[in-house]
Amino acid sequence: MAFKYLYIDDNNGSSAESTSKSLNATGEISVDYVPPKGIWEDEISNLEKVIPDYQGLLLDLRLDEIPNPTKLKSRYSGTSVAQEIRTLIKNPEKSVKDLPIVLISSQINLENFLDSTGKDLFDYFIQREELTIDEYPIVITRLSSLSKGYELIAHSKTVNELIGLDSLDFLDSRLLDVISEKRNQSIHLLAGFILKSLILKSGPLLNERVLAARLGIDITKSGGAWAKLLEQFDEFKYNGVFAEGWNRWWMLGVLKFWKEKIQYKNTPRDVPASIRVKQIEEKLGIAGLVAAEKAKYCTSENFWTICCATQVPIDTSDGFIIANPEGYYPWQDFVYICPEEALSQLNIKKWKRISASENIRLEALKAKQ
Amino acid sequence: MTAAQLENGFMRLSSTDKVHNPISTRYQRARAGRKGIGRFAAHRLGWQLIIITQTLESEEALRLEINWEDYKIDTNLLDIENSITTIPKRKPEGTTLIINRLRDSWGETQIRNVYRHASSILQPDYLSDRAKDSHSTANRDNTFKIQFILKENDIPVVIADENTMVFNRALSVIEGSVDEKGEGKCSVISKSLNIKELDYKIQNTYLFLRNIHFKFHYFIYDREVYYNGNINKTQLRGIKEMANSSAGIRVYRNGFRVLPYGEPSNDWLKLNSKYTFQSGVTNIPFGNRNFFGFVEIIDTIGEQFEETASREGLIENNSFDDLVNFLTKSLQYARIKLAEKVFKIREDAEKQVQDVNKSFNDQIAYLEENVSKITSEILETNADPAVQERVQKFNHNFYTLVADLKSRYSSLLEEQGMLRVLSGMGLQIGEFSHEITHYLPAINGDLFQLKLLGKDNEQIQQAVASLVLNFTQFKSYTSYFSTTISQNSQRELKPILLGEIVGEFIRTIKPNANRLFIEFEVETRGTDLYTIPMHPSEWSSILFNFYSNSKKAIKKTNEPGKIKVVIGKDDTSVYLDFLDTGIGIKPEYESRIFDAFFSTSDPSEYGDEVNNEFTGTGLGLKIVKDIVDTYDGEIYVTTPQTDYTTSIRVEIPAATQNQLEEYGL
Repeated sequence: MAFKYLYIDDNNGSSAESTSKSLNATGEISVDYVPPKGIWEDEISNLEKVIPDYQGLLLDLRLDEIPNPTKLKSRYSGTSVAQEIRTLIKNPEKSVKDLPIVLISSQINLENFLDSTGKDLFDYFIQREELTIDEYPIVITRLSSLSKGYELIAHSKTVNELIGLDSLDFLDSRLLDVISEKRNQSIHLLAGFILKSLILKSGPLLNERVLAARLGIDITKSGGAWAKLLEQFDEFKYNGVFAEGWNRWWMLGVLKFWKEKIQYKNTPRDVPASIRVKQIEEKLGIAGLVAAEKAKYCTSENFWTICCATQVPIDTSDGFIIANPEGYYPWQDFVYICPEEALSQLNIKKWKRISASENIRLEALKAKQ
Repeated sequence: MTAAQLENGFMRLSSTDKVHNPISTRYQRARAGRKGIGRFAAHRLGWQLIIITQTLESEEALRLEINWEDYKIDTNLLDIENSITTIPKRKPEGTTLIINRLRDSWGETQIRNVYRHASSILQPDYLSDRAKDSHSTANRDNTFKIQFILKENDIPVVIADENTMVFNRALSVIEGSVDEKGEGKCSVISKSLNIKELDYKIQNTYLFLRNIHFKFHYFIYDREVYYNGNINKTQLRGIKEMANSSAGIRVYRNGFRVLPYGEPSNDWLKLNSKYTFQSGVTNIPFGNRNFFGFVEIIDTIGEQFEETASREGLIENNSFDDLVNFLTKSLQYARIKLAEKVFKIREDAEKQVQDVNKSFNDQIAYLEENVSKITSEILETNADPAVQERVQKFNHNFYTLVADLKSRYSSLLEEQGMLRVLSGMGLQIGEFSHEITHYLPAINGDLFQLKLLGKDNEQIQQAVASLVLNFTQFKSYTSYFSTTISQNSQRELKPILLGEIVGEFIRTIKPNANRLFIEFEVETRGTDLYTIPMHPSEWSSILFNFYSNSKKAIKKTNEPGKIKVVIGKDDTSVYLDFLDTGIGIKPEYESRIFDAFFSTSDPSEYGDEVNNEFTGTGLGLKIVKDIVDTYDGEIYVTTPQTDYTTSIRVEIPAATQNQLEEYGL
């Protein structure tokens, strides 16, 4: 059965209705659009009443811009509704169940009206401008995956079941410690942790671009051959909680694949992309794979990560670590930009600052120009 | 009060006196208060209450003294005596309450606050004369006047309500009523704007609405010129400040204030929501802040209007709808009348600017006349050939200079006119593209649904694909404007990082360039290329102007083109080169393309935009140059790199270390 989302938005008339109809179009999820009640107490007491019928909430960030059909203009935001729901969940007298809360908003409002404490309340963000025809199916699948994930978290008995692994031996024990800790707290805290600290960051899990970088492959130029190679990684694909919404592969799989199927004398980290690709082609008989090329100002072809601004594959020795005020967990990889971006700063909004520890290297690079 | 009224109305617990006798015998007024709270209030304020009361008919006055401390716990109520004594009359009629031994200390501020609250509960006397006939409560007449006297060292000081004094300064008074037959009329009066529209008929008959009257005092802030000397800047500013807390449209029912109408956050006539966004259009701001308004409802038996049980406003019945309708229409009428006059004042102000122009021509004519008089005098009286020659030479130079001044002046006027057109257009585009963004996600969603619905039909799929493509192109324009406009919302100047601004520009413009097969390339020579503090949208203007010129120049070559942006740094300035593979600029025009309305006889020339393009105003590069000049920068045509035909360089002073630190960069 399709997961049901309640969608509260003050953009009355066709705009919000059209969005909700479109989200319903594939049948994966079923979205009920309602305007805000206008009065805080009514909104919350109604939510308490109807939440049992839903598996997710979709909230507009600003609910205070347009009056609802009964001409009441609310004075609260999606953030305050989310906060209240998260608080109600903790109240033992109220039987409000935990469910995914997704924020939908325009980019300008996200930048101007949402701070980091607000961000923690939501499992996922949808930028209105980015809801294009190609993006809709992805968003729908993710919303469905979030609901499914919350149910899995609620019912799973072991961490193995949650992460989709038979053995947890190779995972960083500190990661397991945090998961165990969060399991005792609440569903949304655990969900948020797994999504934001494990799935969305490189480390034990890799996304498709980083996976390709580690194999030395240029995805665009390889086309169908890449898809074929990717099939070889099916057994290493992450199939734990939220796997339907986010395609990830276990890093351990890369090493296992290399060791068992390629059987080369060096690990992939130690050989340049061209050799990695040649080995893969030879051992697996896949033709048409194209090795990624060195980006401007780079010296190494031993690609291991990607530039977070331009997405080009780079070796960490060429990249510059960006400052991350939230800090890294020990099992996470650093986030890098490529040297060209460090110099041109064309996408500086995406990375803001490089880590202070990289300043000397950057000065050296500048001096060379 | 008579002895019976005093006993039944005041001394009896849970008295139903007001239920049985809702109208006062003396003034035929609806009696306020039914819950018996008054006694508690008196108790709360002081330890002792003395009531002295007399009627016209009585020969003596009654005096009742209550000492609240007699009511002690565990005392039998029946043992406490409050006897009524008779004393000589103090005044012909009326009741005096004296509360002694106050429980709190009362300063002037507190008293002033109480006065303000008390007087806002009662319908103000500056409202209407009708109320008098209907016997509703009003502090207009002596029968119900609130006066606060503060006695300090036996010197009485009258505490006044400063609000009332400001109303005679209003720009306009809008007043109207619906009579007992349901006919609604409205008058608009303004001395300073010279408006006197009396009794305009708003509606022949209202079905439900009867006996209401309103009076709105209207102010336009920050425009003392409209008041024709009736108010000065400081006074108007004072009223504006006062408006924050006490402006709005209040409602008084049978003499008493009905909340929440007219409270600062209340917008019951939807003035704020309706008119806030029109301020730039008519220059008649009509928000709640602009009104000190009073609506008087006379409905003694409560058949039209009933307050809600929670005392939070009136029940929104048919009469209420009529009332809102009447007030809204009256305001619309007033707005038209006001707009007409205000527009006239603005027009006159503009005419004055034109008069200045006239005076420029007059002055020049005057100068010419005088110079010609003097020179011809010299020529006639002095035959010395050297003098003659010098004067001739002077004459020649003088008239050349005057001709030059005249032509410069007229082109400046023309430029100013065009800039006005452009800025007007800019505002409209801003509004338009902001509106459009609301529909983008919805349209995208519809496209997505369409794609799914037609998944088995090849023709539908093709149509959808083409629709998606076109829509993406369309969005590339609107997203450019949204970016510029969101930058505009930020008025602060700050050092601009060239890399960032170029990156953003290319991302927005890319879809458009792709469609025209124009390739983009960026070359950076140096990092941290910060300009001195500027406005981000100024760089959008510069880059977009360059881009649209390049686009046209490339189009004229009939070949796919390339554009390259180079950014870098010299000793004290940062620079940006904009290169393209268009038709190029002829050397003789290089210095002139930045002039206003520059155009060549050859229509296929770089920068030519006067003749055929809607957007072509001939001001694009001129605006760019103005921006650059503002920051003491330079703009000029340079030698392009190989493969390119045109290159324009903008140089702006680089941010100093101090500036960067000041902005935390």
